[in-house]
Amino acid sequence: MPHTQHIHVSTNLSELARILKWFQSLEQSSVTDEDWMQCQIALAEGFTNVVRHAHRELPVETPIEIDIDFFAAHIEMRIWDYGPPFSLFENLHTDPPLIDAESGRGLALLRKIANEIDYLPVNDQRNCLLLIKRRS
Amino acid sequence: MTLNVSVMPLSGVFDGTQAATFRENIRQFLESGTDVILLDCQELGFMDSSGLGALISGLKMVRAAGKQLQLCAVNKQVGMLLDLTDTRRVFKIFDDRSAFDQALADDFAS
Repeated sequence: MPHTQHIHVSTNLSELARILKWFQSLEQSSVTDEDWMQCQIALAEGFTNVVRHAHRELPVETPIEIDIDFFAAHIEMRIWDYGPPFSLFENLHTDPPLIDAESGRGLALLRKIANEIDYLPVNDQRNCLLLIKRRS
Repeated sequence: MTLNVSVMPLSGVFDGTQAATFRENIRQFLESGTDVILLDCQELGFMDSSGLGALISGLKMVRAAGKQLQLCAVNKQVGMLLDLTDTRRVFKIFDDRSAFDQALADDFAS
């Protein structure tokens, strides 16, 4: 049975280290190295995107919730934010960044890693970024 | 003529929080007359796209000064980030520190 793993952090880029440590502690020996590292990157990019964009105007205490579920054939990751609705999708379909760009690769990475990606408002004034990655 | 080489170790999590310090370090190396900056990634655990953005910013500074920025001992996660963002080809990457030293010695001998 899948079991949801959960962490909540504050709106602060320095929380990334804690997220990575938490992710490292989830023992999922059935997940390939490649899938594991791609999920790690996706979680990091999803989180920093919330801090830099969705929560840009919000206080540091504003919580960011992260869930991950390991299923037999796929992995689901969810990241909840309190930002203005649809602030992510404004940028989701723009062209990939130029090779020497110094920013703007986060969403392109999410699109590359996730087989399905969705960003939806939920009923308690939050938005949920859903990333579904098929296992290789 | 000998090349002035500086080694900058990267460690832990390299992300946007380190970008300003990283660029300042690069600036200081260039100012002190460094020809080649080697970013030793042996102790680097994780890099995100903001960290990569800082690396590319540093690379541009170094190239603008007519110098070189190279990497060594990149772990699998960083390698994957470079591949997923299609940026591996902008960096010269050595397997480890000794491969870098060897290449430098070969260059000097030729």
